Amino acid sequence: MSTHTAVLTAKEAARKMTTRRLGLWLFFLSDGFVFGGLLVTRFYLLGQARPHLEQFLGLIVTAVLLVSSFFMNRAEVSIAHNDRKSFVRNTVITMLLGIVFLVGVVGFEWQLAPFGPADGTEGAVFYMMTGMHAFHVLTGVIFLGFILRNGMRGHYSAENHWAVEAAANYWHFVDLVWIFFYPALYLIGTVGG
Amino acid sequence: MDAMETSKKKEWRTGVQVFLGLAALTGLEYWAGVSEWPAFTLWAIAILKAALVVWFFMHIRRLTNPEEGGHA
Repeated sequence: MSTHTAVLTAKEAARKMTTRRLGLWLFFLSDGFVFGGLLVTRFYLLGQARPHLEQFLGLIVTAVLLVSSFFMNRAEVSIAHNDRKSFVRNTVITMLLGIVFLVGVVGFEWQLAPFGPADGTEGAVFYMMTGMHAFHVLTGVIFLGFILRNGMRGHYSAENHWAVEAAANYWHFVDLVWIFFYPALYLIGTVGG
Repeated sequence: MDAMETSKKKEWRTGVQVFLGLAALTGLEYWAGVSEWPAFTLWAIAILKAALVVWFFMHIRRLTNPEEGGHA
């Protein structure tokens, strides 16, 4: 390969990577509008009242998601340094923590909440916000399942792991949404207004 | 190989530091919430946490720096 061709290829690769990343961030922006709309809805409909929820459970699931983001970051760094074993281990831990989060919210919080989805604005807001977020966590776990399978088959390396970067960013985006949902649902305002 | 291992450890260390920062802020947030601090303080903590995630975990700076991230 001539030097000229190599420079062109490098430029083309850089352009391609920029386009991929821009596309992903545009997706985050558009999805962010959905979650932003839900956040505005919560304050528009409930004002300073907040749903009666299990405070400690809220803190636990928040901590679980936070820890999962830490392991996701470790997984991405590992594959970016050709450490496949560590990538697999950290991805599995992230997936398990994602499932624990889902069980905490859907399996426990939804059962313990003293209202159902059809019990007025409180129920509608709470189940819509947590349900939409839980759906994203579920799709994130599925996405991680795909990169785990491909990673175990040796499809990723330090030079080629765009899918891992995208999955990791998606996972962190889901964490980012919860960073705003957690105080909005559990901490801001007073119970029952 | 050694340089790669050093670089990985450095990035892992940054990850630990960011995680500890996020954990501390979450603890503070919980305490502020149960102590009924004004809402803007909770929003300020949330924005700070979001900034840490976007900058260190989501690597937003890579948008303008395609070589970053270790891809070929």
